Amino acid sequence: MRDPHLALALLGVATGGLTVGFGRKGGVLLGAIALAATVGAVLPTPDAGTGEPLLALAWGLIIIAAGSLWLPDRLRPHALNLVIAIVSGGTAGLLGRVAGVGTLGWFAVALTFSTVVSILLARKRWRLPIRVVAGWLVAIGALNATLTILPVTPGYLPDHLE
Amino acid sequence: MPLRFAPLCLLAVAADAHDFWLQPARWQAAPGEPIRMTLQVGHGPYRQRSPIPARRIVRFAAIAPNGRQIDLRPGMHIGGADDATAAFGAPGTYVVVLETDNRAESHLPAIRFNDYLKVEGLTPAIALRTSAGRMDADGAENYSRHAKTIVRVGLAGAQPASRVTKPAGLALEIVPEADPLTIGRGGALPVRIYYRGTPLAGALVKLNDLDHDAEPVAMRRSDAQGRAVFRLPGKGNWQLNVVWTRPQPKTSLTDFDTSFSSLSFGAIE
Repeated sequence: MRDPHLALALLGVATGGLTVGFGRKGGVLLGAIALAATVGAVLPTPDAGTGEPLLALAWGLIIIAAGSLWLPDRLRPHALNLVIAIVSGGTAGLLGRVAGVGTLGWFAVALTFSTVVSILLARKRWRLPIRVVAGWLVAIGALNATLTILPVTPGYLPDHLE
Repeated sequence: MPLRFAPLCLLAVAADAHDFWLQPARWQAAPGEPIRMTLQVGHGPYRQRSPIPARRIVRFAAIAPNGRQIDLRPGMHIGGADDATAAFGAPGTYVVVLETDNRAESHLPAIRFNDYLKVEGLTPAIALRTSAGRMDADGAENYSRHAKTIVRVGLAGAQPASRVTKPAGLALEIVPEADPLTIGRGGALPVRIYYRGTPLAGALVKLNDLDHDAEPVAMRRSDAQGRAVFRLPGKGNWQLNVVWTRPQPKTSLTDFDTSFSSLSFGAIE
């Protein structure tokens, strides 16, 4: 499995900073994330082969969470944020289970930091910078998600196998 | 920024698929008990059975405690549930050796080839490419494998383990100067690296814990006498590996002829 640290950190940023910080009932959303992450982390360890699909799912969730910030408020109901929060938390927990529970620290730290920052920014109604950051996250997520499904080009095939 | 990171991420993936070693299912067996072995390549999450075809294996033998060579090729079944089975009737410590020809080829883009040379410590090759102005050129090499493993038959101390510290005649070889099976926790394990029969200086030797082998436990450069000394952390499954290369003639289709060597053993103290 590719290195999951960046995906977990950006998932924390997208979920915390964007979904929670700019969603209603932030406390409920944070609780949902924590519960889902805990459940994912204590489930029986998935097969090692599920690492790459979980990583692809994480990048997809980053795109969804970041992209949803560009929707008008009437198209971002609390239910959507709750679903994003639960699925992101669960994915982070499962990914941590496969990659090592220590990697969840990246998700937790990024989630906490970005939530605090985004709540402060939301109070000041500084939406434009946040939307710019959301755009970057969509681009990074799209690139990394694409890498997981592209066929390996000859120059990147594993070498020295014989 | 993301586009620049992408090839570096894939580099980190690819640079780990170099190492090759003999992995017995168990390091100790009763006299006559079959010992199953597999050929492993890569470390950490990239570790897998080597897909090497049997026709490339030119030597698969065991060196008995009395120095006799036992041909193990009849017990090879590459690609099966395991790759080979061997059984030894007399108690003692046996050194199993495997060598391949050098017909395997590797062709890598410049950035990956330079990274591979750096990771494996092949500084003479880097210097050669630099002086020839070929650091931006793709790299191609022929490579061969030279693996050894130490297995013990019968009870410890039943026979003197005299062959472990003697060269087995591999083109690139790690020769321990003390029996790794008798070194206690924290004890020194001196090894000498031989390349085509002479001590090799400046080679990067790595010690891997086969139970946690994402990263080497220790790395040493062989000194002018070809010696490197490691501290064995203790009981476990261990592997030493070293890589060396030499330039090919100008008429060759590849740039370098590279040898990979390994020594695997299970420390029981």
